[in-house]
Amino acid sequence: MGAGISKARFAQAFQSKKEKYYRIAYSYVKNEHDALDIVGEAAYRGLKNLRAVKSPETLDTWITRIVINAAIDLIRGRARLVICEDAVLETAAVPERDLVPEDSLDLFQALDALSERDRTCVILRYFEEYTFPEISAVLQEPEPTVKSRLYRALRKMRAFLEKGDTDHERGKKAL
Amino acid sequence: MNVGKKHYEQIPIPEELDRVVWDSMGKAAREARARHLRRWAVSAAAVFCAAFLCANVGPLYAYASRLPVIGAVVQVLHVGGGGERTDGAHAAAEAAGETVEFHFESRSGELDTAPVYTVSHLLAPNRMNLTLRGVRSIDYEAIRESLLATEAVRDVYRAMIGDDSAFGFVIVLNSGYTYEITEHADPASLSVRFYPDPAYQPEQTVYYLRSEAVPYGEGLGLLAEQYPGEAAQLQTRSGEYIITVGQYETSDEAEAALQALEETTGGASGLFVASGRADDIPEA
Repeated sequence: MGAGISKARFAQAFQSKKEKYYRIAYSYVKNEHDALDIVGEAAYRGLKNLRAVKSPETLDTWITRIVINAAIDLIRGRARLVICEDAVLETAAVPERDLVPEDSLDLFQALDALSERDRTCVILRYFEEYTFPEISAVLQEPEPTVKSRLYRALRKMRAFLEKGDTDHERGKKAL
Repeated sequence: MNVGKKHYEQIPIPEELDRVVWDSMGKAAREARARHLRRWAVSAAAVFCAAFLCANVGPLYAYASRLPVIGAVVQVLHVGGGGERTDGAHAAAEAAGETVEFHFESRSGELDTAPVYTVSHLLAPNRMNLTLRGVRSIDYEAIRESLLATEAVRDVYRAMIGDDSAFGFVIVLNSGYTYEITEHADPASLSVRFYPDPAYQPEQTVYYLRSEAVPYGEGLGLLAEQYPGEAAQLQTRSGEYIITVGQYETSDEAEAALQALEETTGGASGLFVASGRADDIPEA
């Protein structure tokens, strides 16, 4: 066994943070039924693959990754579409101040505008308050890439919400 | 706070979440068990039979159904023993509320069946003696901390056992508490649940045979070996240790037991009759 995590310990760890895993799942699918399916699937996959955990300290990160993968699998399965990979990221240094969203920006609503991995960055950073190294561990990507994703995600979300506002205004004028 | 984060935190948590998680983990555990059963059909069948044939299953068996559905229940007991012979196992423990779970691993992973164990319950003071055999190492600090994290446990210390593949624990309980042990297989674990005993009588006096107090060390282990299967080790208020043998409701019963013991030892048992109330710890 990889890190000597017992099934009982896994069960305890999962149960203690199940609400967090549910919220992460819900953020992807935005409905209760699918979010429950995702969390159930993650609990199932986690227990079956427990030997893959490298150390007890990484158990939460490992479970979080399983939840995210289960969510993405469900979305892809429903869409029956080939998902395009993200555009190549420029990983130039992003100033921290550019990664702080304004309070009025409804990140939750704007998640729908994002690719899967960008969405994961936003959920973990702004909702679950993960550090950059923690997000890096979940996504298994370097920190500069994570920061670039967040920077790009914030731009996309602003544009998405502004467009929504504009469409809403147009709708009102048409009436 | 960001308005989006506020929305995120307000996501309602459905009541079914808990059930969904346990059902999913139970499904994974059942599948693992099914694989195991295919490989070890005969021995596993014996394990399952034991769950139904064991006469020591008390009215608290229903509790097992509320445990995480991880591992097959082999038996639920208060005193006695179980497990299978193992060699080189490692034991650790975790607490969850008033339940402490001992789990066992070998170098190749989790054990399927618990190592051989015995458990007894004695009074004066109210305590549980747990001995694990075929275990080469333990995480004693984790075990002690897990036990002390419960409301029920007053003190924990190790019994001296000469055999380096055996570990004994004396778990002193607070007044009014008792316990039950659920043995699981595939993976192996012993869940000790502590709970208040409505029938507990703190004024009850019990009689027992005891030795003079000795310091903790090999001498204590050797002393205990003179009374195999019967002796329990107990720390006195002064910090030394005594061997106790048996527990009796009356002084006459204790005297008779001592006399019988003296006959088998040629009058050199080195024990005498003592008594105490349910929660009393001997002075010395």
